[in-house]
Amino acid sequence: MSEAPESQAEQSDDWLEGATIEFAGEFGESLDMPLEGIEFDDSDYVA
Amino acid sequence: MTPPKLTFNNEELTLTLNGVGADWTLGQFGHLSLFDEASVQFPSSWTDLHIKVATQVLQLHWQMNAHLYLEQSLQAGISYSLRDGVSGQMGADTDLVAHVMQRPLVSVDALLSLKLEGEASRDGFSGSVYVGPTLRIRF
Repeated sequence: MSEAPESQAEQSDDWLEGATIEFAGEFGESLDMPLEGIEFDDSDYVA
Repeated sequence: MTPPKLTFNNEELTLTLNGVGADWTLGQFGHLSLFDEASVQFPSSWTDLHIKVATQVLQLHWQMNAHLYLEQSLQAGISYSLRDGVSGQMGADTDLVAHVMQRPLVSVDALLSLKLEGEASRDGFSGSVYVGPTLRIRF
């Protein structure tokens, strides 16, 4: 693995020009949210 | 009588974005209209109502959380390939993350893995959401 640029943000404009970066994440959380403009009727029952 | 409810059981929904982002910054990605910009693969078992609910819930959740998710993903580490051919992996400090979030992009390829678990009804959606972004950015 090559050595990473040392000064990070201080040299960002230099070393990021023309560079490609890749990154990923994983996030999960509880959610309660109102819904707008979606009609539910009795035919939409799903057990 | 029990009100109508729709269940979500952690089915995976994938959104693929290719080549978007010219003149955007990562910090603006919360404004991206995911379901207009992305190629979307909905679970085959979903009804039209599942799709309507998921689209609304996930778009709003993305708008509210994209900035945080992208910052935290960057902080976890990046792989880089520089214009001179040097490549590697590195951690990103706070200053670099802030800089990357604000720097104009040439293009972004992204895969968003999304899952919902819970119930939707006239009262809204209640449950949990999973978001797994994978991004490849060219500056």
